Parts: sequence; structure tokens; C-alpha cells
Amino acid sequence: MANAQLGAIFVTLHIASTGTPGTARVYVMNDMAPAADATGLIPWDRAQAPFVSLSRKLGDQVQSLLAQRFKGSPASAQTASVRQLRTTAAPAIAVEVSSVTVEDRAQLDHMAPGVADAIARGAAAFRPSYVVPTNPGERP
Amino acid sequence: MMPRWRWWFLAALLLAVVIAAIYLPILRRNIRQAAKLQQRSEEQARRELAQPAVINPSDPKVKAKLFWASGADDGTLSAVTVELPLSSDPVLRAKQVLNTLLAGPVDTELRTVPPDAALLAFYLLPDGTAIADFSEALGTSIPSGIESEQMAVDSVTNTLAANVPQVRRLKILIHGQEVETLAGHLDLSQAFVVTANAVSGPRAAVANDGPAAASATPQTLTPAAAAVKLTTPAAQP
Repeated sequence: MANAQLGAIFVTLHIASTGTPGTARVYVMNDMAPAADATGLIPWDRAQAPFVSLSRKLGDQVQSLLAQRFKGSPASAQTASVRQLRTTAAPAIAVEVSSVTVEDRAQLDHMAPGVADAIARGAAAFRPSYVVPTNPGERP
Repeated sequence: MMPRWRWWFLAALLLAVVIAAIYLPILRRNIRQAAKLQQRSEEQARRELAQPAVINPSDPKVKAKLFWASGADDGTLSAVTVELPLSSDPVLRAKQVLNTLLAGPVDTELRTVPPDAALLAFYLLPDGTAIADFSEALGTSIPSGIESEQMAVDSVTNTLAANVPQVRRLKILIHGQEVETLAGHLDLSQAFVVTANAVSGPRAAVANDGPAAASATPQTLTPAAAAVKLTTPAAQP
């Protein structure tokens, strides 16, 4: 799917310094004002604006799958003003795994397949709702 | 036979070894305590220099709500009510509550901001936009991560929302400068909306395409109770 729809979604992975070890959270951008630019160019710091709803949809799908695999994870995606998401002109989520404080790094390694699977399944389930905006900066 | 002076010499040497064995751990402990005290007093001095707005005991005592970590280790905050003499001037009041927030809770595990972070300046514009200038430690000493950075900002915005109603938005500066992120994740380039309905829980993403969605600033204090299920995905054209 990633090869067929290059740049269809954006996922950024992080390891948290805090939080309950063994849990994972998905973050999406807060509400943003729609980007309005007479030039038709995408305003850099508002690039995510037309995609916020789609990002939420993707975020909730991935988070629900993560919650099934990693007990203690929230049931739905959280909002946060994440810099990397704000400037992305595509449905975008940040996945943060807790945490670097684990004594044995194998604990984090064990989470990798589950996180990857949840993202892949979430992206596959999200695919039918993905719509490319006709004009750059417009709401899809 | 060993001469008597040698016996005395050996006995004195043994005594010196015993005294040293007892005294050295005490000396080491004292040095450690002195170093800690020095570190604390440096931090205190920095804080005092950076915070000219001290609490005036003649101000009326008010029940202030301060937001620190709930302790649940899930990114939630909880309000702690503290009785403080607070000024009626919004700028002074904001400085007082933020300085108390930065000083930290009794349980240091519940801190949301680094202990060496200090509020350098606070301004309030007529339109309700507040500008809080923090020391570099806010960005450099905070545990990096979306959750920890969001908690730090939420604890500041929630505390302002609960105690200084004149503040509508908050712009955070670090050492007088605009910065892109707090510690690599949370976007500080925009102002944060400060609303009265401050929440203690994590912010669930809310599907909202109404007028609120058109806000020019990040909605960091969306009530968790307002979370709704997302609608069925639209059919692909």
C-alpha cells in the first residue's frame, strides 16, 4: 500500500522518557485554522490543517489496535501540538512508546512487532477513507 | 626483643588507622551534604534573581489551584488547592501562581517542570494574550517526549486558566526567544489557548469541524468528557 500510495500517510515513531512502561500512545494535531493562501502554496506551519479529521481517524484506528495489544494504553488517540505533525500535508500521527526508563532494552524490542502490526493494520483499515485534496491546502 | 618505643609507635599507628576508618566516612558524608547544600542554594539564588514577584503576605489569601502530575504515570494532571496570598493584578498574580508551580509539589515525583526552570518574565497584552518567558532549563532539563512536554505546558496553561481568568492565550518564550519546540516535540511557535474549563485528564482527540475547529491556536484544553466517536469513514470517490 505504501508503494502504491506514496506519501499517503505520515507516521512518526518516538520513545518516551515518561509513562507506564509497555504502553503506547498515538498523538494527532489539535484543531487548526484552515490554511488560506492566495498563491495556492501550502503554508508551512498550517500544512496539517486540511488533514486534521483524517489524522484523527487514522490515529483512533491505530490507537485502538495498540490498546488491544498493550494493556494500559489509552483507547483513543490524544491531541498534542507536535511540531512534526503540524508541518505535514497528509494524514499524520505520532506514536510514542513508553519508555526509555526500562531496565532491559529487550522490553522495548518485544514491543516492536506489536507496534508495527498495529500501525500496518490501522493504515490498511484507514485506506478506504483516504482522499487526496484536489488543490494543495484545500480540505480533502 | 623489640624496643619499647617501637611498641608505642605501632600502637599509635594502629590508633591513627582506627580513627581514620571511623572519621573518613563521616567526612565523606559531610562533603556530600555541603555539595548538595551549595547546589540547592545556587538554584535558590537563581530562582530568587529571576523571580522579583514575591508573594506579598498582605495580599488576601485565595485558594489557588495548581496542576501537577496526578501520579498515575499516564500523562494526567491533577489540581492541588493551595492557599496563597495572591495579588489582584493579573500579571503579578500570574507570576505568583507560576512561581509556586515551578517551586514544585511536596512530592517531587509529581513535578511537571524541571526544578531549575525559572520564570524570567511575564506580560499580559490587552487582548488576553499572555507571554511567559522561561529560562533555558525548561527546554533542556525536561525529559524529552511528547507526553512529558505536553504535561509541562498543560500544567502551566491549566494553572493560569484556573487562577488568572484574564489570560486567554499563552505564548511561551525560552530565554526571551521564540523557539520551535520545547524539547524537540511540542510546538511552541504558536500560542496555546487557555480556557476556563481546564481538565486534569489526557486530551482525547475530538472530531469537531464546527467553529471551534477554526481556532487560530492549538486547543490544548479540550475537555476529555467531550470526546465523541468518529463517524464512519466516507466512501472513496
